[in-house]
Amino acid sequence: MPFCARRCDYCAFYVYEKAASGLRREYLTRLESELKVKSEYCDPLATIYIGGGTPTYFSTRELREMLTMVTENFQFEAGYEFTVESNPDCLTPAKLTALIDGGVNRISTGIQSFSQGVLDAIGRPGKIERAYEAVDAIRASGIGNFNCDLIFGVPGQTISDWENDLKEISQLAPPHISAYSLMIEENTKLAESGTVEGDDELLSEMWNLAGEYLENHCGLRRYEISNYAKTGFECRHNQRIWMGNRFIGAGPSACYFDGVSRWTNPTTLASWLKNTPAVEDAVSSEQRAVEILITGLRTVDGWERFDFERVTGFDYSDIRGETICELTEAGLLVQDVNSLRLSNQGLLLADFIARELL
Amino acid sequence: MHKIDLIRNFSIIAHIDHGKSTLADRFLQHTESVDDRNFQDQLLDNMDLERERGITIKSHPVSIRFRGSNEREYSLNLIDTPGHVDFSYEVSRSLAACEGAVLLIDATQGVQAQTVANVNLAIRQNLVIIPVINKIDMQAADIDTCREQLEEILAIPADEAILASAKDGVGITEILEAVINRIPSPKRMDNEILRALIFDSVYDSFRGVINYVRIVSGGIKAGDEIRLFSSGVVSAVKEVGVFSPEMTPVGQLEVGSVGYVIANIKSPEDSKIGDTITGKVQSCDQPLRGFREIQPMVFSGIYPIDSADYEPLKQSMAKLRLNDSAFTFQPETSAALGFGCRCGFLGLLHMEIVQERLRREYGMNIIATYPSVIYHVYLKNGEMLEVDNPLHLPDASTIDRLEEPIVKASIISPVAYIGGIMNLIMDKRGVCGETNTVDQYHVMMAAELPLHEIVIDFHDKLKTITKGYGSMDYEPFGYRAAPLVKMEIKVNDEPVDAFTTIVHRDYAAARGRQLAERLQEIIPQHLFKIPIQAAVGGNVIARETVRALRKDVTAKCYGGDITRKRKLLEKQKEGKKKMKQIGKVNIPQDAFVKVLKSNTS
Ligand SMILES: Nc1nc2c(ncn2[C@@H]2O[C@H](COP(=O)(O)OP(=O)(O)OP(=O)(O)O)[C@@H](O)[C@H]2O)c(=O)[nH]1
Ligand code: SF4
Ligand SMILES: [Mg+2]
Repeated sequence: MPFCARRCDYCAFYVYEKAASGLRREYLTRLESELKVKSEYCDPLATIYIGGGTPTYFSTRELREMLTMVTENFQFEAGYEFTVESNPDCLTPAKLTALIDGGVNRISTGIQSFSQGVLDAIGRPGKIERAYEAVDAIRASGIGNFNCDLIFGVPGQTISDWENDLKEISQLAPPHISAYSLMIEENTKLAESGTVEGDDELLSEMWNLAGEYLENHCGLRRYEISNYAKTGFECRHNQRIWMGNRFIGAGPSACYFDGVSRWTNPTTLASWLKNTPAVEDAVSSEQRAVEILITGLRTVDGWERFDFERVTGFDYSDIRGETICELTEAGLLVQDVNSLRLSNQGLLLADFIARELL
Repeated sequence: MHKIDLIRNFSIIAHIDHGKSTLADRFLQHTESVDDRNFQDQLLDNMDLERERGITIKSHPVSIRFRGSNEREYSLNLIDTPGHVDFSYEVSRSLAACEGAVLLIDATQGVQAQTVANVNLAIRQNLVIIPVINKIDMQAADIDTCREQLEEILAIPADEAILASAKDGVGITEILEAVINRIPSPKRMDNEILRALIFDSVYDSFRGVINYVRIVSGGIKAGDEIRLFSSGVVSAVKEVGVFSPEMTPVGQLEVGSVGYVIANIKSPEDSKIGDTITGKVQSCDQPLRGFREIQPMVFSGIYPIDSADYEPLKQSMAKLRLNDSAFTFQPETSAALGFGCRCGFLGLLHMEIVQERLRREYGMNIIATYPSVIYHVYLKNGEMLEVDNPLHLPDASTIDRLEEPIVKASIISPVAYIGGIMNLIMDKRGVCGETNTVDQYHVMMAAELPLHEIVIDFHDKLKTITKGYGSMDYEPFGYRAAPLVKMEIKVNDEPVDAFTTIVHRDYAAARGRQLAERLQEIIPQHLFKIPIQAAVGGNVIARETVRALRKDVTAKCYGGDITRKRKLLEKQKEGKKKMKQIGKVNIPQDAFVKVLKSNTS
């Protein structure tokens, strides 16, 4: 869903600010036909995730329409997880009700920070009080499974600023937190203004603080590099993607994975509306396996040898045994007879490790 | 009228950026030698590197037809030459194929150092010079001062100057008329024996050596049997042609003309710039006067990143040398880098360009060492050694004295900057010579400077001090003793011989600090911390540390991101492969060039 009220300074997505209702209408029409086609050869869904963009930027009517498209065209497994991303600013009671009516049982909300300075630095206007109100409203609506996004490593942010954000979020006690360190990506306002990512030492300190603080004060365990949850509240959708499961996607820039190739829809809304076909990312089955090895290693528990083999058809020791041993010796990987995961230091060096494995 | 009377051969010469290639554009358009469709600015600058940097690196010949006001149709062979001092050898060779030169002077800059140097080259070859004052469209144009400088500095009558704007196409016809009227046609020869001067060449992977020639006597056509005078190699001509500006075959290259010859010459070593092509049966007894051998001034080692590429690297260098005879190379080895070549260049820009061309045109993955000049080492036993690689400096205890090459520099600058320039000269261990006024605003200063200092960053500093108006030319001026010492750099406690350099004792500490600081910025973070030290005679004079990498991770990875992320990681991995591993440390290819640049900032 490619629409937002205003583009954040760090955002590298193809999002459209304040899109006219006509364009939103075109989007919904085309989305419906894409979902219809894709639903035909689709097993019942275990998880659904609507993000983007800001789905709750849609009007209540549009939101209901979009959710109906999903529920009418697809079957869900029992105990499915259905997440929608939201922005505290536009998560009104009416939209919340629409979400629940539409089968949504998990909400993710982009709080980012409780400091006005940080919010200004990343170009995300909005009142801090809205964050508290939104979380209260989600709770009151009966949705107990929800996530709050936080951001750290913003220019000017000190370790004690970050600690303060962690303190604030712990008061709200969400069962799930995503805490991302700020990435400066190409084609963002921040990159254009010449902002660079923070010092790696400060960032690793902030990351460590997040891990300790959220564990000790909120009872949340880090289960992926940037994700923390109470046991049982992990985001199953993302977990399944990291562990190499198949998924479908719809909308501009959406990706899907058929178990062999990954596909990416045209990135711009205009080209997607014109039915431009998706682009295939075809690699050898071994390369695909390595890619899945890498994404799976982002989780703190990493891989069980047999799970990996079941998903990819390869034994990781057969294809990357030597590198795995080297990285283990370097203290970046932890190997058991039948499992493999990143060490604490390794989690912070996951890209380095990925390059070694590729 | 004989055909040869309608031929004119000339080069366009000037200081860098005075508008030579732009003027060539106007000539091409004015004579309808290019389609509008195919036109682009500085059309003759066809190398990627030239287009990226906006400068001419190679001389570019092109043949055009021009109908004069006398209604005769002339065949003009013009050569656009580079302006940068490092490529002056290109200019001098181009001039050897010509009877005249169009000399451009940027009206906003006036006569600059390479204007003088190039005029001297043209005079030495007895060429007719057509002075043109260019860029008169600009607000800052000062035509009167240019006229005064023409007379005062170059001894060229000011009334010969043509006013032009290459950008706006002003004065183009007038210049072309001057070319046909003032420049003589090539000399007619009674001798019918083929003599063609090779003034440039390129290696083409399909066709072998392609020689650029000026036909001095006789003629040449496909099917002829030719002999290369100095190598004695005999071959059959497969194609001859002219540059229009791309290579275009013609039936015959006649006496007086400029064009190219493709024979069956597959080995780059068989052909040499400056050699004479003659007939196989009817050979000339004497070769044409070739070119003076050019002495490289700056040396640096070039090594393959992957040692298996050593042989291909040497072959690539041989091919490149065909197109750049100022570049020299011979095998050497380094403890850190393995087998490679010690290469000679005319200057730092030349060095950078050669490295880039090896990378781009020949796909070589290379690393280059810190540049050096040739030192004269006088040993206590009376022997003298020439050392172009700091590594080969003998033990200090056996050395009586060290001498370094000196250049005589001539600097032209607006009067206002004299003080700053003098300070710079002193800073660079130079001695100021005479200062003469050229006109009411400009002076010409002489100075003697160690070549090594010029190599490093003198020129950039001069540009900064004079806000771009100062320019410099220099020539070798013997050797002079100096208290020089060898400085070594250790990375991760291992000496990296490729960074070894010879420095003045009093400057060692400062240079060592600069080098270490700069390396600290250039060497990427590793999983361990990397100490960097500069040492003279075992004493550490500077120390820096590259901190261990603590964090290297993409914060967010969702389903829509996996392909893009993998591709990014693959690209980064490729980048790392291009680094040279020394001990446990990966050093980027361009580290040595970047280290130099540091001093300019
Ligand atoms: N205003 C103005 N600019 C000009 C004129 N002639 C050239 N230029 C500009 O001057 C710059 C240098 O022009 P070039 O033609 O590349 O100069 P060059 O002498 O070939 O430079 P090198 O080959 O690197 O020595 C370019 O930006 C041109 O557009 C002119 O008559 N008027
Ligand atoms: S809310 Fe999310 S998608 Fe929208 S602009 Fe901000 S970062 Fe981008
Ligand atoms: Mg040029």
